[in-house]
Amino acid sequence: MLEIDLERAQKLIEGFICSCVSGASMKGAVLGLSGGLDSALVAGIVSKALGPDNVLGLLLPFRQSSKDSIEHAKLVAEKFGVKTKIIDISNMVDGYHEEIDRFRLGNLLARLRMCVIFDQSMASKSIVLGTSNKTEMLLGYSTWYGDMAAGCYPIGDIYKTQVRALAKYIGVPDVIIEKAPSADLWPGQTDEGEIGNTYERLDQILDMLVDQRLPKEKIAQRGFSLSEVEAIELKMRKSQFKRVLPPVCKVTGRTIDQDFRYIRDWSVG
Amino acid sequence: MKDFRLAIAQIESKFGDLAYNIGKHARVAKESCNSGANMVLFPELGLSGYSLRDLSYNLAVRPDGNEMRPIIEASKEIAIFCSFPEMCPDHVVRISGCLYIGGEIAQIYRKIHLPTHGLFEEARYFGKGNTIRAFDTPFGRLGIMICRDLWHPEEAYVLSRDGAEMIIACSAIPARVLGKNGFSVKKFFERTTGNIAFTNQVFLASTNKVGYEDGVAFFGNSVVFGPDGHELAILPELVEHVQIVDIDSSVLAKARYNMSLYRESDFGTVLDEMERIEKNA
Repeated sequence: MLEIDLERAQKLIEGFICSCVSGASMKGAVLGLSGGLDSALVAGIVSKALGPDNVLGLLLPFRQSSKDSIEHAKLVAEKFGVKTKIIDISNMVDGYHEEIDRFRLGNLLARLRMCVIFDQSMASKSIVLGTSNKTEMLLGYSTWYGDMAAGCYPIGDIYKTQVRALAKYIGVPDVIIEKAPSADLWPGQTDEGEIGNTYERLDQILDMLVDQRLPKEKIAQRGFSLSEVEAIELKMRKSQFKRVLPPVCKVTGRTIDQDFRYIRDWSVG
Repeated sequence: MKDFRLAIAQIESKFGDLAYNIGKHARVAKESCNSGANMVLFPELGLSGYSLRDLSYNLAVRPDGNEMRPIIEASKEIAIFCSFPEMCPDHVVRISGCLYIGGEIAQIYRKIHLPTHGLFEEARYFGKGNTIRAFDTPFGRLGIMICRDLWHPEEAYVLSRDGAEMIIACSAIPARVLGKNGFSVKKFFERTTGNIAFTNQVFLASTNKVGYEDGVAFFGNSVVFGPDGHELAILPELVEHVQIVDIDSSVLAKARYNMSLYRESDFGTVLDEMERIEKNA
């Protein structure tokens, strides 16, 4: 079920990016290049969709960031020919003068990067491409108004294992495809370690829960434990707030997002 | 029925921009006319965009409204079938398809089956039509259907029993469920439309929308089938494309002679059984 037609997927996403850029009356796109798989894939697709000259990849290291992250981000930029800018955010973090634990620091880094990316997008008349994939968006494994802040999500309906296949297809360097996925918010962090399961299993379970609407008891009969499925279901439910507009207190007859309903592309043209 | 040249105009609309889309329809109609077509079919809600939500109220038009002048004018040279949110005479907004011939409204059809599930929310914003009727034109006797109507075989059956020789249709089909061999919607759409043409022994042409609205890509892949079930045209997926198809009316008689589906259809028994079912319901 997770196997997709890679050529069509690439074409679909390229068309999507073009429609988002022209719909916003912008010229190009910016994205954070973390050195990881998701941003590498989006960089590859957007460089083909808009031409590499219309793409700016931002490398935003913090002093604790892994050296590989920068090297791999440069490798991606070189491979797809996109322009890059390196802005070290360590001083921005230091200026905050708060004693914080690593989780708060992780969120802070994601949100400071968001500030820089959005500012750079204004400067270059570009839209911000989110690089979240379907797996992390469903699990809420992302920072609200941090890495989730974006003008559009080109790979938001593509599971992580599909991201890997598509990345291979469009020529993302092997070293990036093969390394363990990490948000690199603290040394040694890995996604799978933190989420407590492998992407292989997470994607199969999510596909059955979300796309196939299978009851969890049925999923449990297919080589997964009920507690494993329930843990994923709970993560999905607990992170719903990240996937919708915050509620508006209803006062009038036409409240935004309740009975004032227009698609986002209303603004096009 | 006459032989004629049909243009399938699988075009993109600018969402919410009625004036722009009307201009584009008129322009493409003129180009199709210059290429020798006698009739041109446009996609569902091509004048407004598809995912209208509350805009359905703002953009609803009357088929003879002033804003329609460019299309009505262009229809003096080429028959034009296009679709828009219609402010109907009873002041309800419906999804309509209108065929203009010679600067006049030849027929207006109001969509009956309104998908309201998953990403579709048509019944939340539109009233439903309640008339299925074939009608005579200089091209032959036609029937109109819009998108989801095609998935209800009884509608095509009624049209064919009412004498339709050709069904003209339009749709807005989101490209979806990408598997390892492309989008699953392709198989279901071609199977369904091909079957309508084949089992009712009528021509069937459907123009599908392309372009993106809020991340949803519309599929394209417009189709024309002959009354023998053979495909006369399958347009490309996802991109704008205008294709001209020669409609050879002699195929109709040949198909109905070679295979007696049309004349063996037992309308009377169907009607009796339907009446019984309705009485017992």
